[in-house]
Amino acid sequence: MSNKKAYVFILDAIMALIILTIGFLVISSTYSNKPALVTTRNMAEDLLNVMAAVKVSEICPDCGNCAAELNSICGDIKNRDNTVLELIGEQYSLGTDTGQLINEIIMENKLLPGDSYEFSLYIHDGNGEHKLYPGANQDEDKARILISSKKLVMGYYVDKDNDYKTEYWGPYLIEIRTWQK
Amino acid sequence: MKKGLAQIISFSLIVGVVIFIIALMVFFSAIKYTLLDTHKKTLDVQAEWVFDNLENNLGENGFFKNYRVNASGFDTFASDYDEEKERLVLSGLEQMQDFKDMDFCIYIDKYESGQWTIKENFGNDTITVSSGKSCYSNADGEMPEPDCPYPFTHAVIVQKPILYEDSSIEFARMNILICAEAIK
Repeated sequence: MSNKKAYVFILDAIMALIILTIGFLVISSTYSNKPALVTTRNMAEDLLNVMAAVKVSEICPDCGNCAAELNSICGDIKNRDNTVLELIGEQYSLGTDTGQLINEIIMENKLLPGDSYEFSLYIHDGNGEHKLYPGANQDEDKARILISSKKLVMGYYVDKDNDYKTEYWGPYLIEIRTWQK
Repeated sequence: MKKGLAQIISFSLIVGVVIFIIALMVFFSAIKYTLLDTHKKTLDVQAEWVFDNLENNLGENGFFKNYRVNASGFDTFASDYDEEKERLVLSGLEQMQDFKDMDFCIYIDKYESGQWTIKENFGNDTITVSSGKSCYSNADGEMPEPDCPYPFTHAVIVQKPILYEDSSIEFARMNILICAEAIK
């Protein structure tokens, strides 16, 4: 009789241990490595803001005196009074691939905090969203926390090849998405 | 005999459920207050606060506006750095709960030609990072874990993209290291 009682207690204890272990594994794998939300959120805003804080004329007044980041498109820049963020909009309106420009500014300067964060950049026009960076697919769909920040850009340039006609572009929404790997 | 066995099983079941519930409560309480990051005291908000103070609270000592760091202004600020300036940088943090004492170190680094260089720095040079280097010598470019001297209990580093204005304007990074002593 006492053997059966001991058997029941042991079985009960084993079941409890199994359930506790499963609970621990589920909880530890779900929450203990929670991504740093504050850093990710601010990073998207910071990247947009820092590109909106400098004019093209300040870092690339002419092609002989141009920062490395803008060298690749220097000859294509139409309005140097634009900010760097607006330059992305201007170049998009002209059909120029801005992937290298964005890569030069953010990745080559290592502006992302550490190596554990990633970002993508989209532009929204009247026809939907278009991915400007990166060209290859990233795992943003798998990100547990994905933060998006957007800024509206619009502008104009004087087209010297077309009788100095003023061309307007935009408005576009430029969106940066950031997440932790 | 069968009745006795049923009583034993019932009693065992009840005791088992009670012990199980108690164990679950202890288990989740332990996780809630000690293990999970979500309930740990963190300094992320304080670091953002310091970033805002640099822009808005330094008055005539200001060297940082709209993501732009003025190199000469920074040099002036850092050269005669004193307790009053430290108070301006940390202003408002005393109203936040959880921490009673704080110190910080700020440096600006720039990645160029395949290596990191430190452009500017000021603050407590006894705050070191995981590599053992301080704000004044950490040119690894990584996002290190700050190693704060006693009695500080918590640490954080926040890295922000900025524009560094010297003879030209360059994209660079501001690193804010904060150490704090938690209120127990």
